[in-house]
Amino acid sequence: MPRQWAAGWLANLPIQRKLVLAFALILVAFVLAVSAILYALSEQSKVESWARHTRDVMDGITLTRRAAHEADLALRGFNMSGDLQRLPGYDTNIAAFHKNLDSVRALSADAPEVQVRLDHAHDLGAKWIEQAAQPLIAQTRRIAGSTNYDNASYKTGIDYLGTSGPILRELDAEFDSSMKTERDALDARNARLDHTIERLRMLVIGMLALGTVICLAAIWLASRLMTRPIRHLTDLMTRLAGKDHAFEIDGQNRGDEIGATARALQVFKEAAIETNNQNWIKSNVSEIAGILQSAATRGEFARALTAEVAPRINAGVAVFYGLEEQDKRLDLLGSYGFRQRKHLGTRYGLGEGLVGQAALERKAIVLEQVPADYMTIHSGIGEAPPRSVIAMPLLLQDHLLGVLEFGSFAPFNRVQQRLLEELMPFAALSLENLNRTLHTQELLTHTQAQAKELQVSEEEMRVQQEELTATNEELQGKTTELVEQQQRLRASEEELRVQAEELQASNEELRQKSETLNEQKQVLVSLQIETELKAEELARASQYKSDFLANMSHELRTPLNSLLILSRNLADNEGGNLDGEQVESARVIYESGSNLLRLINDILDLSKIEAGKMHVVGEDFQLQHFAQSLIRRFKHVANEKAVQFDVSIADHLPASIYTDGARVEQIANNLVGNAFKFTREGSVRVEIARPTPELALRANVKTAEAIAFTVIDTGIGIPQDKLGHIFGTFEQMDASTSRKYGGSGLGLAIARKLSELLGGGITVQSVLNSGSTFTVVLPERIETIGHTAGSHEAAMPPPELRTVAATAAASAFASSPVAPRGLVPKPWVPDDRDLLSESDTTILAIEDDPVFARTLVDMIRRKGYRALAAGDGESGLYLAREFKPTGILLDVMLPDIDGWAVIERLKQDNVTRRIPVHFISAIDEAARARELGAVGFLTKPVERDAVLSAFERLLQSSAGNRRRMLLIDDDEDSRLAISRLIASDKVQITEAASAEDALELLDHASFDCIVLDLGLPGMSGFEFLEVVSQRPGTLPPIVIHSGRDLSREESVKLRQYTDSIVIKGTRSLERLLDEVSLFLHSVRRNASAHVVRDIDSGLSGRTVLVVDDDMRNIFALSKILREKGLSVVMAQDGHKALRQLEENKSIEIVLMDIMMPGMDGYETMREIRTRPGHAKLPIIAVTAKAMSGDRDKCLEAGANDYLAKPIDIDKLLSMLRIWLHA
Amino acid sequence: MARSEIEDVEVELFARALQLRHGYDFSHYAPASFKRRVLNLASNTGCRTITELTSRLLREDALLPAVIAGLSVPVSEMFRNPSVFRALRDEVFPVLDSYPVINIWQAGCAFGQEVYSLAILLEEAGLYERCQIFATDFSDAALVRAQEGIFPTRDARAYSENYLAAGGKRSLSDYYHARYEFMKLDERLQRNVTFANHNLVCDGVFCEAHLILCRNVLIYFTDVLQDHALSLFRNSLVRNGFLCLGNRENIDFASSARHFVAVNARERIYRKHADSA
Repeated sequence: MPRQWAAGWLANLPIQRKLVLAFALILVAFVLAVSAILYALSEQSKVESWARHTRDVMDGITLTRRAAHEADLALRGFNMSGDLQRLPGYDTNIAAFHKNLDSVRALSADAPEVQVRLDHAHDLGAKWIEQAAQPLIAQTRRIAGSTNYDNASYKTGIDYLGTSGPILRELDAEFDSSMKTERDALDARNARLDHTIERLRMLVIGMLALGTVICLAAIWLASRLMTRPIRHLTDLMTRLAGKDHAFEIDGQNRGDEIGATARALQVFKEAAIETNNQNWIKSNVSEIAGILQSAATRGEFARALTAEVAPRINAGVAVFYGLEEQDKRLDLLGSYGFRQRKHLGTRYGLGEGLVGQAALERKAIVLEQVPADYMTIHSGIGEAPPRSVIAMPLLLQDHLLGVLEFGSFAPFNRVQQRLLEELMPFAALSLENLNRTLHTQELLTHTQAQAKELQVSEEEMRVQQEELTATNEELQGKTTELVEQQQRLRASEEELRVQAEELQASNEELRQKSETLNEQKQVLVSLQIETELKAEELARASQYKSDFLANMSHELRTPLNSLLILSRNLADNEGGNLDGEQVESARVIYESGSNLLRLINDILDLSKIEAGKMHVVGEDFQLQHFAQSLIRRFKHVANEKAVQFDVSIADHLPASIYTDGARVEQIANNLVGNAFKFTREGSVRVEIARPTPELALRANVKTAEAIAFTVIDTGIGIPQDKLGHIFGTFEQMDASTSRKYGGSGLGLAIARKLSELLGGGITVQSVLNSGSTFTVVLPERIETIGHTAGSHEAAMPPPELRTVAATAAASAFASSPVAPRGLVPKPWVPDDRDLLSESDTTILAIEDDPVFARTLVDMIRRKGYRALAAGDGESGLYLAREFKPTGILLDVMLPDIDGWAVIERLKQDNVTRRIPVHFISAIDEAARARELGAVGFLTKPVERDAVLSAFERLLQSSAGNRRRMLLIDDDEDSRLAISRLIASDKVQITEAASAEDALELLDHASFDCIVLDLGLPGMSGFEFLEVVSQRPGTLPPIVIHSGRDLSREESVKLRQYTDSIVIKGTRSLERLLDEVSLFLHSVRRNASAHVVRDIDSGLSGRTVLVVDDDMRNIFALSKILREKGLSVVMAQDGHKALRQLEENKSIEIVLMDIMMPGMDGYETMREIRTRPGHAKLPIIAVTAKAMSGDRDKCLEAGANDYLAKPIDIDKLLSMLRIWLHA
Repeated sequence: MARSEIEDVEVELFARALQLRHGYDFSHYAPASFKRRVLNLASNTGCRTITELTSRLLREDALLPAVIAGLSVPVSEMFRNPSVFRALRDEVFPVLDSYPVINIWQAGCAFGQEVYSLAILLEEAGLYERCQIFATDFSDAALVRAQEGIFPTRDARAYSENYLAAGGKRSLSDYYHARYEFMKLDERLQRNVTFANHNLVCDGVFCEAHLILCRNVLIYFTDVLQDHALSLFRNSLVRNGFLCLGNRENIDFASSARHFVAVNARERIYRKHADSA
């Protein structure tokens, strides 16, 4: 206790005083020690002065004694010598004796004992002088000069000695004892000094010890009373900074600065706790407010509010009552941990219960110590009543929105309450916003519904209006009619009477006439039947003819095509191994072939016109253009034959006419060609003008609306008698003309037919040997419809005819497939550029070191590839563009442009962009190379194996991961177009010009997709598909790209292999790309080809007829059925189904679709049932119709069973089993 | 209970009777419009209340076609909203041209004005020969009228204007004969059209279509039924097939929307996604 008190007292001292105290103590100890030392020092110096004094006294005594002895001696000397001279010495010493004695006396004034002795000594001195010295001096002076001096002196001397001796001895004794006395005093003083010093030492040691103790005590106290509390406080501050508030701050009652600091810290701590609480409240409020904002309904809001708040304030139960504005009641909107109790309402009025009270008062109500029979908080393992309950109203600007109530086991602390208080405005705002949003939404929905409603009623209004108009009109019509009828009735009454009479008369006449008519009618009927038969016969003949022509054209053109190409090749004599004669023969073959092709084209044109298969397509036909194209076309012929050629257009003609331009040009080319053919000198003129009335009349068109094209030549002319025949088919002026001038003689016939087709005509005037004038008169506007002769089925032009002809001509003239080579840089080192073919794997080495280049070329060749070499960047780029090598090896250091520039330009060029590039260089910049898109980088010097692996990498990148597409098309341009279209890094396109080539390619490689043109030379596309589908293995997806229209039968046939059929047209390439991309770039595969058989013994070997026009369905069905071992016959409509049933007697069951074009399912079934032998054939109707009535309709129409689409396969199979079993 | 509310009950009972008795499900038709149609129908058949109509519907089989006809809203005109037809001609036909056989489904063809319009445009584009048009409606009465192809002459003028605005190449009069107060469309236009009864509510896929037109039909449906119809269209279309809706309908909010991409959003022409199986 006392210590504590002391500590308390000390502790309460301000730190300054503590420091002063500690330092004062130390100072006192220090001062004490120093005073002691100073005292000791002064003692010592006193002793020392005394010692010096003693010595002085003793010295004085000694001097005095010596002076006495000197005087004694001087006297003795004087006595012995009698020399007066010696007497002064005696006087001096006596004086010194007195003087010294006096000074000693003065010195030793402090020592009475010594004083006494010195007085005695003085007396002794005076006695000596008086009793010894004076007598001697006086004796001696008396005897001085006596002869007997020595004796006398001696005697004197002895007298003297007798007297002076005892005195002097006494004197010495006095002096000795004086000195002894002095020495003793000194000794005593020294002893006292020693003692003092001893005490001082003790004191200093004591002071040191005391100082040390005080210092230690100060340090200990400082640490205990200052440092420790301060450190403690620092720790507390750190904890406070770390948001730890769970500690008490001690020492607050201390009076010192630490106490002050502790008190400050306490304030700080409280502030921190407050801030923390604030933060907790703020963050919770904002968090909850955020969650509340995402609530979409009031219930959701209430649930979110209770669920978010309750755990935060450790409430076990929470409920939210929202205010129902209209009836001022509070409804339970959401709760947390709340279990409904029977007597607790979910609705409260204002003022009812705690909830209502809180709502009424608009302030929070807190209840503590809730009774035990209050509602309980439930958990899975028990229940207990809450200890505290709080009800908070939700207010927005004093406007009540709801009440929130919480129950908790612990009383709600201040912070929790504050959280609630602060949260309430936010929650209220959120709820208000939500209410408004809900209200807005409601309005919006309402508006939308109204808008929709409005649209619908608008539609309906139209109907009603229409109905009204119709009714109105009807009514009006009826009224007018009624009036008219009335009038007419009156008028006709009279008439009727007259007529009745007349009728009787004429009746008889009529009877007779009708008999005659009947006879005539019978004749007519029989005639009509005959006509119909003939018409049918004609149609059939025409069909046969056109079929024959189509076939013939193909048969003729196919061999002719190869003949033209081959003969042209021969004539070009590229091999240089034919002699002139042989080349000439080849040329003759080529020209004859060309003539033959022209002839065939003429015949086909003519027969097409005759068969009514020639289409006329109206378009704006520019006369000026026409004239220019004529000039262009015939200019060189005119020059060659030195015949003048003019084309003129009359004034006031329209700029264009509406006709089929292609036909007009065909006519004009024929006529002008003929004119040149028969004109050796002079001129050929073409005049375009309005026709003369006479011509117009002949051509049966009006002058003002017609145009005449007149071709005037100065040729051999035509004899009058032949003029009538020249337009006849296969008729020429005479047989010799043909031989002389060439040509089929069909040109004029075609011209006439074409001009008639265009609604005009052609006339000729001629004078033999002076020229002919052909005039074609055409209407300005043709009427397209009606001139498309023939039925619609027959009107389909066989497009392949034109295509084949064009292809033949094109390929015949495009003899050299490789571009001119004039620009090819000279080979750098010998490479294979002259040996390349398209299928070769080629590697281009761009390398300026000839030795290494040669090595690379050698290595490339050894690997079995073709090598190209370039010594500089530019020629490398050229070779890459020209030969499109499989890969490129590229050096960086090149004489002109460096490798980096080369690869950049390669990658910029569409042609070379995809060629993989591998660097081989002396500098190592692999990263840059990769950045530029190189597939690899080798640093020189390189190993052989490294180069080989570079080859590998090139080839891999070239082929790696790419999808392979096989393009089968006989037309080179078309192939080029499609390749360009589809070309990408990821697709490797292999081209085949014929089905046979394609089959061979398919033998050796697999493809991801095939694009097939149906019109192929040799094996047709259809045959190809058949052959290919028979092959083992999976058939890649096929896209049909057809240049001609397909009949329905053909499309059905194709659908067995693919559903991607693209007909060439304006937008077809786009679709082709879509289809191909689908197969090449997606995992989707065409599953049509491969059939996994899963034979069903009950169905295997039976034949089913599937009648459906939906191609997807028909193939999906037939595929599944075939898998089950059934054999499937297909028909796309009722008529075909009937035909199949006729032809195929093995059909045991029919799957009949109902909705089909033409004859529908009902009709077909009825029809089947009428046929003998099919009355009991099981028919399963398959229909998309799902209503009950539809089933009855099917059964009524003759179906045995009914299956709804989409077809459930298991159901279908079991149905098939049942009906096939029966 | 207010008169209108009683009528609501009656309409519901009527719909229920129609479904139970005849199998027609109108439960997903837009309620307000349906109610008006029923009220209209009741007054047209001379029934004083809907209940009377319901009672007759239950007992008189012969009344059904009239009821069905009365419940549909067969209002249209030829080349209605000509710009749509123009867009079809310019944007859709060139793509259709690349198919060997073109199936077109006109869902809800009503009196056939649009079918004939389409046939004319296809004819002029040179595609008609390759086309098979399925014109369907759930009202047999409407189908009969559509098959007749006879329309009042007073509409001809408007039709002609529409035709020219739609990009017609000739004159509409080339395609019909007018006699008395009616015009009859050329029967040749029907040669590739199959008229058939099909109910979008309950019937399934029946063809593989390259183009489906369903204009101003979906507006009478609730969202559920619209979605059902759209999925029916989706399953009927070939990949990349076209769907043309009425200018007041759009599929942006339907759950099937992701299966379609707009080709011409203004004219409501959509295309089925290639990868949407």
